Amino acid sequence: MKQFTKEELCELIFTGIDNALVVINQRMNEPEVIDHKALVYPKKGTEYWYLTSCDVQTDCWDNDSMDETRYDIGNHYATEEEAKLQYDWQLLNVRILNTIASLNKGDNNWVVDWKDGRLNKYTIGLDRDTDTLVAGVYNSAQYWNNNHYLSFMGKEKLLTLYTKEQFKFWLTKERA
Amino acid sequence: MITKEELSVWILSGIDNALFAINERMNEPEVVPEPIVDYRARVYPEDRTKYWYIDRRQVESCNWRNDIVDKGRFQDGNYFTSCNEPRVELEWRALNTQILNTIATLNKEDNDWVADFSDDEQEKWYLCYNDGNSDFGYTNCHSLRSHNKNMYFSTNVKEKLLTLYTEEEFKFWILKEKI
Repeated sequence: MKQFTKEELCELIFTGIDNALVVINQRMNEPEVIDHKALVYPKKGTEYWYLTSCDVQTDCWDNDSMDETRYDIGNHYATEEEAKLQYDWQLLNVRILNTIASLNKGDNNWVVDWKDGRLNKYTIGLDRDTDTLVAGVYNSAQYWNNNHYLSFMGKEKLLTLYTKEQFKFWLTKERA
Repeated sequence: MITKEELSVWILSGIDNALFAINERMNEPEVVPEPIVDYRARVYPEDRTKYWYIDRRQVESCNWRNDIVDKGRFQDGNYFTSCNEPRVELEWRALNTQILNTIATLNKEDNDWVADFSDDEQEKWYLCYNDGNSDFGYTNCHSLRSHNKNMYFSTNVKEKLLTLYTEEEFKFWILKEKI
């Protein structure tokens, strides 16, 4: 076998380094591709809060499947305040949605029908200009799932059953 | 002086009038007061009713025992009357987390854009579905606020957001219904 000279070896090594540098420079000049759909998990050791059936608990992020499961389905809160806010909101949300279901049932089993463009469908909104609650009428544009909509009679009654603060909290998930 | 006969006529006539009034009242249909419905009341299921709930990422079932655990699940919306409902709910929650994270990331990239409801000039967008023409898109929030702050995005974000998920995913996100 022919022996490589020192010069040949140097040339081979330098060529390799040159090629590597070209690739590295190319890669560095490429715009960073951001995956906007990717979930960015917290750093290991970060404390977080989550909801159980009856209260708010805390845990430390260990990168285990329990942590990831909570995060993936939105049961991960960076602060205790956020978790408590969500807990209170969930209770109110269930209550108002149950009320809407009862009111619709009491109004001759009223059911929202999006195929019927003439059927007025109401849901509660907040008028930003006047800071008042309004029952907006919708005929075809849908912003919520069906259990948020009421008949005319239903919305009139609904507005009397909860306070303005409760409705505002329900809509905005923000404390007054 | 009033005679005995005159007095008798008056008394008998009074009795006749009273009897007439009594008979009329008795023939009136009975007014049944409308039951007072407490629309805010929680109506718990009957004992031993089977129901489904979400435990971490699993769907589990059990029978209603009316205990504190059952009531806790019911009150925070973790009570479902069929096996399919919690599965849809889990799928929806995962998608909801992903879309809300995407909106947050895109808004952050757009110079840390944040919805400001005291600023009438700022355009704020959110997604909606128009069943009338089976169209799907975004709406500018002019004066009516009906969503939580983290569902709004900037003008620069709206086009980008629509490219990241399929129409079916967005529809499911808004309607929570499987097509």
